Amino acid sequence: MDAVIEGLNLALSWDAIAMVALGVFAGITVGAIPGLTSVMAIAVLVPFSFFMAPTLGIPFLLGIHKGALFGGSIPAILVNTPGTTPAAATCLDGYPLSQQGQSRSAIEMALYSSTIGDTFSDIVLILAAFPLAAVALKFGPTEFFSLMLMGLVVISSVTGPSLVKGLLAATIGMILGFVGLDIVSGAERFTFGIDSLAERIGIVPLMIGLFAISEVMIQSEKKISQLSKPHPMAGLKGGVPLKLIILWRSGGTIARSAVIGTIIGAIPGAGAAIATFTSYGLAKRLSKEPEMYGKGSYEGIAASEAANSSVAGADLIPTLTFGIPGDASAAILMGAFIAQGLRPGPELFTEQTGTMYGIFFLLLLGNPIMLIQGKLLTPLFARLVTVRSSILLPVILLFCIIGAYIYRNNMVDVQMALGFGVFGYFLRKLQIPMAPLVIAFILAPMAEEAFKQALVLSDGSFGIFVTRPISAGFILISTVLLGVSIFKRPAKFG
Amino acid sequence: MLLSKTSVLSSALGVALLSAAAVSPVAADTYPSKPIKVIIATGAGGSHDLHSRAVASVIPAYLGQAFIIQMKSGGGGKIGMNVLKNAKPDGYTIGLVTGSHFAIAAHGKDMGFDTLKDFIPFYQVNYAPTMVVVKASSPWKTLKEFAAAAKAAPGKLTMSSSGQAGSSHMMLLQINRGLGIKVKHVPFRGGGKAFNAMWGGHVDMAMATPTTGGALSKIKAGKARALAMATPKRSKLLPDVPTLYELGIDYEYLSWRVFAAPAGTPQDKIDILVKALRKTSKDKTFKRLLKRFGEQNIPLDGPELKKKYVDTYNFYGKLFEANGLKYKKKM
Repeated sequence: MDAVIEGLNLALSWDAIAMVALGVFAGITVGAIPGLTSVMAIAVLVPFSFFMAPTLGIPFLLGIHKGALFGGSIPAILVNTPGTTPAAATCLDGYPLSQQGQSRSAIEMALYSSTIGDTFSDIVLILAAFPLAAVALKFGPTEFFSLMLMGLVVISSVTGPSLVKGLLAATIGMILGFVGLDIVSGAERFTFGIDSLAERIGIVPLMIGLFAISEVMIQSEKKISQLSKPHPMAGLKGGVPLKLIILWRSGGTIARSAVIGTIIGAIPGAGAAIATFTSYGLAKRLSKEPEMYGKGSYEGIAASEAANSSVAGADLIPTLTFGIPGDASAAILMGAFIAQGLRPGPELFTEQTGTMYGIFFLLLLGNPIMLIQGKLLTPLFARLVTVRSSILLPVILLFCIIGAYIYRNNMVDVQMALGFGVFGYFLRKLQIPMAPLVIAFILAPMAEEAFKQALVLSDGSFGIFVTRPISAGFILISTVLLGVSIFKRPAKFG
Repeated sequence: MLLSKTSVLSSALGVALLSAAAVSPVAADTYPSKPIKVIIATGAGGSHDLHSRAVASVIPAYLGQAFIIQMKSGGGGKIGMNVLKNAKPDGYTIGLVTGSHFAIAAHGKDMGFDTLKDFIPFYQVNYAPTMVVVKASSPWKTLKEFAAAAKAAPGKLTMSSSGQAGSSHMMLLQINRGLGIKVKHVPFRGGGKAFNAMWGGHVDMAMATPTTGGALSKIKAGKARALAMATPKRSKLLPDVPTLYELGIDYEYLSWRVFAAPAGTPQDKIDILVKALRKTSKDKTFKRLLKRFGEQNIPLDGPELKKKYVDTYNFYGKLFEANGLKYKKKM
């Protein structure tokens, strides 16, 4: 109980609330600018949060995570360009509505469903995190290995249209993850004598390179005339506010999508994009007027936005309790938690209880803040859709370089970020998905460590993984998932 | 934690104000005439980060200049320690160093520096005692009982460590030698994870400082049990717990926070720093911060510190040699 009060104390301070509000604002801004994804924005802004106390820095980042998922719907609706990948489904109904002069009510629909979805998922996070963390403590090296193995299998079977490319990406991630000091044998691996590599490749420079710098490079391919041309603007002119009856009628869809988004978000490796398309597909199938989908259905927007925003809280569940990131954004957030001295895992909930309650309160508080900002500032955010890339790209690149440097005050990290930028550029060109790479980068070394520790405990007997019940359960699920993904190709997601 | 932000802001402000002062020729005569860089070779958010920021938040009042904390982590301390070694010995770059780098890692691998030649240790902020901990629900009340159980079932009992050839691994090796037992070593990435493995019941014993995994509060609450302290004398924190020496085990480890300067730094400048640092140890804000971290205030300087530094280094040299882990320099 003391911890709850301590948490409230931390949360209910003006600077903490201001940081959430700033984060949400930055998130919506980033989401609203086509070409700037939320993953990229978080990657670039994470190092700046190192200068803040955990109860300020973390809520700031979570605010961005939240805001961006809603913000992405604004350009999707206005100019048929999703600001972020998960908003792609929002284009399907949002843009037709916009063409009918209903852009304002469409954006409001997106805002309300996002807020409801996000709030639901935050509540689930708060309720689930503490008990799950207690369970996580019961996990020894054996169980951890099997759990990580399952995580690796899940990402290989759900990410991207090509299984081969997904596996390739995961393999690259694993190799990168093995660079550095092996804790069990004490040996340095793949360091090529470079001291900075002995302590592993930094997650922040890796993310900045892969997600942000490579994107800048892709964008820079365009002709300068195209980059300096503002987007044609549908505008908010003449729109009317959303009728509450429409929101009411979509209530069922919003609730269902929030549940789907929360469940999918909590599965390691499955992110907002999958949640959105699953929920959109289901909503259409269950709808009373499926013929309206794709032509301007408010329900369609609700399904898409409630689902993608409800991932925001849920993907932190495995991230914070087991240290397994739910998706790429959560992977970067995990890096930020670690840099703040908040090491994800059960210890987070036993030692930093007050701080965690504080962060959770602020997470919840972010929802009404998002609602207010979205309601008042939508005309401003709508104008952002027109920001010229020719101004934006150099600014982003500068932030990337500063961000990589301040991560550890080390020039090597800047060089690595640039190197990974070029690498990421080719990955994008070859359409190799980056989420499996990043998640494997985090999971593989943890899995390996647990594997070796388990074998030390069992005196080298592999039987330990199948004789311990929890571990055996995970191995069984992994085997089934692997079988399914080999014999039946997964549905294609964009 | 609000403190670290304000201290960053205030030190930033300090830089701005004082760099202006540094240009004037008059100020250059008296040391220090500009802010002093403090290199930290461990990670952000770690105990050295916290301690350096606690000192930095009060030092300007006593030194007339700010401490600017610079994190140079990576390479298991190698990067930061070499930045310190190669810094100009003009008194404007110092480091807050840890025994696990200069005394332990220095024997285990090529760290690129010579502990005794390259640094001048000049002020100890404090240290944290380390202890041997088991769960309160375990059957062992003393280390002797643990040893008896280990003898009865060789290779069955386990202890987690913070990593290969780290402080807790060295302790385990010494316990095994001293008591003639064979406890299995399970390395983890860092002391926190090692402690949790014990707390979750996956290994039998772990090493901890009072703050690792909230160890001291768990012991005081009767949920965990300290079997021994790796301190030279019994600790005030747990006066009933015997030291490893008392139990016939030749080992001590203190989690050390010591200010050191690169070799060649003039003694008169070091004296000025020591004088100011001594005053910080009496500062109310500083004491309050230490209390909040759950740490003690144990200042030490002069020949006593120097001797302790050299002794610790040599102590580990012998340990590494005895266990066949000593790194041989390639000439």
